[in-house]
Amino acid sequence: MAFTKKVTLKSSDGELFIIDRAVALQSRTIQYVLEDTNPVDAIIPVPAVDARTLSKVLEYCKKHLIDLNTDFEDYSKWDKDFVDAEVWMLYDLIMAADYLHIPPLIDLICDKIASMFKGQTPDKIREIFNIDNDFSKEEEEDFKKKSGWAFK
Amino acid sequence: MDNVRCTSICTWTENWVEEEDITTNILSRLPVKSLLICKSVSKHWRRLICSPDFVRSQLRWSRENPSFIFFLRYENELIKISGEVFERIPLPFGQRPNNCDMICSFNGFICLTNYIGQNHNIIIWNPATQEVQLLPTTTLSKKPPKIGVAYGPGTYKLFRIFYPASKSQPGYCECEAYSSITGSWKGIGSVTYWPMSSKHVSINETVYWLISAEKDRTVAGSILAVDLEENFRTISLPEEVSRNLSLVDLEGCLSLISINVEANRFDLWVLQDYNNEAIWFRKCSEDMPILEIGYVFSVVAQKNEILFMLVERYFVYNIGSRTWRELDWGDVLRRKYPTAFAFTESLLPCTGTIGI
Repeated sequence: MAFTKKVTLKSSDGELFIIDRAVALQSRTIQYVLEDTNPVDAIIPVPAVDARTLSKVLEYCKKHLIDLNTDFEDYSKWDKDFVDAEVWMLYDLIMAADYLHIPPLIDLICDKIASMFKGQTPDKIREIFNIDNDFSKEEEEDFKKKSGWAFK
Repeated sequence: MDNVRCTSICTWTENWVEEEDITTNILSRLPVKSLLICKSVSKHWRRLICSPDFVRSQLRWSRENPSFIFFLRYENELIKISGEVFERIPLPFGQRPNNCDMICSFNGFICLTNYIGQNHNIIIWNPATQEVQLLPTTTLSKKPPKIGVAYGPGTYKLFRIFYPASKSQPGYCECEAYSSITGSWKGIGSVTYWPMSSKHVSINETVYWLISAEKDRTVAGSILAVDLEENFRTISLPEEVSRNLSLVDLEGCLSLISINVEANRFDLWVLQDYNNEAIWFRKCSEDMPILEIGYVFSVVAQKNEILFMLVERYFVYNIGSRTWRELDWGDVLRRKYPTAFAFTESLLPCTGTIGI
């Protein structure tokens, strides 16, 4: 065999994950590394992702590989449960998905976060996502005057 | 665990600034109403949402999720149906003018007109941002003019074919064009063909209208096209089409739906080459069980779905899955004979010009 069937990934905090090559190939970043160097039994470092997040990302990759034949509804139910996580986890996940370049996972999390913004007031959005309000009272009043209808 | 959580959230806020691509990716998925609220979350978000790149990105997302809007005669509101979501949108005037008509929907805008006593007022309206623009005064016309709008990503041009009040020859037509870049009208000269109605399709910066056959003025004989560069041309129709024809935009292709009532079916023709020669090919020919229910008074399309409007009921045919479904909320539109359009929300200002 010209290539190994297993691949070892190393998280930022040093934990090793031995996974099927096919699972790892869902990450385009890893796919490029494998295509370029084809490391036999080598360890691929994933310096931007910690063990807790990486294991969650790999859980997604495994599920989406094994269950390719599952019908659409089962799939979307699993995805929905997968992103039913706290904000900090979603943040870590999207940064990891972005770094590892897994477009369907990026899509899934972006959809989830967008749905959390929908129908919320600016105060509530700032609270959920811990964003500082850097507008003055006057500026805030001005927005309400200009597009107050959107706040109803 | 609380400690871990705290660190993560702090990183999140700090990185919002750096991860502009991710923020854009998330926010682009929101409806315009939510985005107007998000604009007052922080200065960074406000700057991002107002940027031309974001406006374009939002429009790309919005195009993936179009809705149908219905303009009902004599009523002061539009009806928007997007999957199972139903919404009423009040028209942008206190009192609706009697001759108010809806011409088209493009890039999140709705073009409304009012023709009264040779005067022709044209309004460009973005219902999502509630912005309205009245276009400059048009040349007086003896009969209601025909309109078509060609548009690109950040610009539009409105073509108006009219019957100059100053000319006495019957049937003499001229065309004038309003450009969103100059913000003014420009005369293009006389035209020898004129559209059957203002109902048109706009694809790849080109407007297409059906024009009458020479032998029988009541049926369509060919297509009139004009692009942003103001080049006019005519395109012949396929030979085997019925009298019941509709031009639609299906997945970005100029398409023709020909309903054959006797055979209980419709043919879908697609124009393969726009620029050189008109080559039509029949993409499909499908049974229309709905014809037993009633008469189709109008046809409109979005993405890969065709909406057939019957007096009592509304049916959607999906050309991908080749399946029929009844439109949700169709009962609200019963016997209302609305004009329908595909609609995509946008943040574009009514001047239509961004980042130029």
